[in-house]
Amino acid sequence: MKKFNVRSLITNLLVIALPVYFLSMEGCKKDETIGPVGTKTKLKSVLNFKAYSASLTSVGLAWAASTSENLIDMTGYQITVKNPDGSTATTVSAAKGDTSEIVGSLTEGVIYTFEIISTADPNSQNYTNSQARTLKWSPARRLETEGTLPIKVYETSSPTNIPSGLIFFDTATSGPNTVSVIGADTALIDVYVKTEDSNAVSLNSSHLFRAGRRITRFSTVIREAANLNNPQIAPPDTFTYTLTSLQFDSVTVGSSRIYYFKGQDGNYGRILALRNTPTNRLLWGTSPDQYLTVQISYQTVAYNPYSKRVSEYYRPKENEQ
Amino acid sequence: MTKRYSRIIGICCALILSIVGMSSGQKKTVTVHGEIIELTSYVKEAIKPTSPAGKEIAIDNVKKGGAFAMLEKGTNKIYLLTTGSQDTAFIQTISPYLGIKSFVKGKIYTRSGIRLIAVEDIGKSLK
Repeated sequence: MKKFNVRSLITNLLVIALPVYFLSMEGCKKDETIGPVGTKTKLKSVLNFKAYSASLTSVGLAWAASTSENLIDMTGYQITVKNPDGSTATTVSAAKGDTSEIVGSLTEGVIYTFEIISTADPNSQNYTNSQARTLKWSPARRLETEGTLPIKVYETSSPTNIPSGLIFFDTATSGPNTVSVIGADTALIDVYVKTEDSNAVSLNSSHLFRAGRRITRFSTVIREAANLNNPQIAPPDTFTYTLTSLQFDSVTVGSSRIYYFKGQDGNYGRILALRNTPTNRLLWGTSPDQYLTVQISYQTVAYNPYSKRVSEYYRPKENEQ
Repeated sequence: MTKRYSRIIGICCALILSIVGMSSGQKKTVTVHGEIIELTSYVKEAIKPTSPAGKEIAIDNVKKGGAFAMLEKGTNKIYLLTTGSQDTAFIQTISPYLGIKSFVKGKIYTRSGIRLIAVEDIGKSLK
């Protein structure tokens, strides 16, 4: 019987073990060049992530740039749009330096979740993507003209053949419609412009003209803005919709103004009262034909105040107007 | 006697002043309802903005030096339209109303049979 040779066993073990050891060390070296994820620093997220309904199919986003933008390892931003079920609807990239983006191909009335991250170079040894900032918003249609005409709503002291009533969204024309407050379409009128005096009018809920007509409520939140592309973190809370009349007088103002409304059937929207640039007033024309020139952003899907889930909002009882 | 004369002279002065005032531009503001047209295409070729391609022809003529006018509903009187003092974009203001029942509001001037309105406001008419 052959004698067990310890020396040859050690030699054989070394012959096998050493290459295996060096090969495994080589593999570790490769891993070290990437570095374990846990040791990387996250890029800074954007600040003031805001949104607005840009059109029937698009939402505008705005943000303040990440403070990591000065890092060479930061490549830009990635916006992920998620459907209500959590699936991804679309993904959009934005470059460093960008602070706004319009996301298209969306569906009116759907409440999307928008996520934005600051993206790091995948080969970066030191940095990884930032945490996501999120908000919820919906597209809503813009009603900036009545056909081709500017939307002008005249005070009630105007002759009856000049429109004092406004239907926000007339399904017959798929747009806004200015009508007489004593005409044929009175049941559809949402708001009208009432003469207060020779230098003041009010934009009133239609039911204030005659009982039984449609009730529109305005939010106490008013914003100064040049146009409806006015991004916000969230729309006004529903409990702020307590007004049924807004006053407009001859005081000069610094900008056009956005007023939020909730229609009779629960449709939310915004009215931009345009400033008359020569006079710097929100009130246009001269008495007895003073008027408001407006543009509208309108959500045709009821009980969608753009950014919060329906369940988070108060729903009126069936018999409540 | 002197009192009577001074009263007559006072009345005469007031009359003269009011006549001078009227003739020096105290014009009446009117609101006229009807249809906005372009004068050349309407008078020369009887084309209204509601005619086929009428709007394009009207705008084209305005660019070539034509003039906007209001064809009054009911009377068919023509009022030439000119810019009010505050409107620096007169063509852009008037153009959307071509072929649409409209009203214009402004001071009216008449001379040698021509009626001219300096437009201060234009809007949709429900007439």
